[in-house]
Amino acid sequence: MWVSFLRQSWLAVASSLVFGLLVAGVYGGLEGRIAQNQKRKMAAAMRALLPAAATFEEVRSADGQRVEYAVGQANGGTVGYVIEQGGKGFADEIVLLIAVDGRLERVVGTAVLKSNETPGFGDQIKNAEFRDQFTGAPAEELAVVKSGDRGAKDREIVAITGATISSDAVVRIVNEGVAKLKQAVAGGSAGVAGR
Amino acid sequence: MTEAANNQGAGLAQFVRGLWEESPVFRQLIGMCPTLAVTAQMKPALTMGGAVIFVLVCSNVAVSLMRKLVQAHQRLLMFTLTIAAFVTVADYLLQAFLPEMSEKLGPYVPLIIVNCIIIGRAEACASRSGLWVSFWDGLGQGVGFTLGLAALATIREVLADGAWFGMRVLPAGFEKWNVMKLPAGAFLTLGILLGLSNHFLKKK
Repeated sequence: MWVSFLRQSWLAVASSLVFGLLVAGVYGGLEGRIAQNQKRKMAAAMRALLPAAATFEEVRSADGQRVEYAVGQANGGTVGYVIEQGGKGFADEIVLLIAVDGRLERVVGTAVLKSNETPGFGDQIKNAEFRDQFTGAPAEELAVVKSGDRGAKDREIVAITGATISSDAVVRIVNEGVAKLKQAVAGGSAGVAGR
Repeated sequence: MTEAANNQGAGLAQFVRGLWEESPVFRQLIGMCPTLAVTAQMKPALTMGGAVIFVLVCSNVAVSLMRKLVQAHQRLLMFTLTIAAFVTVADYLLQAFLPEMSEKLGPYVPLIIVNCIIIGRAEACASRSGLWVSFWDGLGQGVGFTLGLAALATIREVLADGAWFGMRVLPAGFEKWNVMKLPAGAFLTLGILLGLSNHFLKKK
């Protein structure tokens, strides 16, 4: 029985090993470059979200391993904060960059750093029509509604038709990010786990 | 003719077939999804074409190398495994060296795994032909696919943006055809091109 099993599966097992090594090897070789590209994209995105900021200062976690958030500064004063927050979307992970004003009262804007949502549906989270709802929204728990006024700068975010899960995911991620940012800025990021 | 020369001849003939006579876009009508999705502009279209050529050639060669070892009832599994590995490699290469294009193409790069052309050629050619013929077949089909994408992208980008490769080619007063940016424009363009290619390649 075992012999027949091995005879059936040996090629699949062997190729999986070879291909696994190939993929791991390529990734290992390119990892540095890819990370650098991500960094550059992040810097550009932060500058686009908080154009008033002249410089960004990164605030790291207690162990120095992760960047908790970034402070945008100009003329010696704090212009705003930027935090990166990820979460599960419909298709894959969604990573957002969220900018909040200096007094942590209003969300200044959001940018989608990474997403693989369905083109034409969930993909619309990248569109200004959806994203602009966050600009000027209060930096508090936001809720998703099916219909409403997209222009109103309130706690309600109107979902994308046919992309409820993606819309829910974005609002959830923004809420998590804003909450984490408030907690971190208040001076206690201990106990905030993961991303 | 020596066997080597014969092989070369067969390989090159296979290459040329992929360009027009057996063009995946205009004759076989496979791989339609990226053909419609990424051809709004030339740059993403050619990037997709390049990625597919890379994966197709690697996959055809790998499948050809193991054709005597793969058991018939497992071939779909083995083909998909092979293709997935090479698409992952292609994805990393794009992320590292062409990050803006990688972002523009987005989910369509991992979707190359399910591109019918690649698994189709693995089944139709690479699993029953020698290394050289499989290599040239992959190259020919890949280039044929890229030519198809380029034809669509040229028409769509010129009409939708008045540009080609991002460079302006039509006078500024040109009224842009917005429909060419959308799926409807893609279908229209493809349909008309298919009609034209059928007309010129009427089966005798």
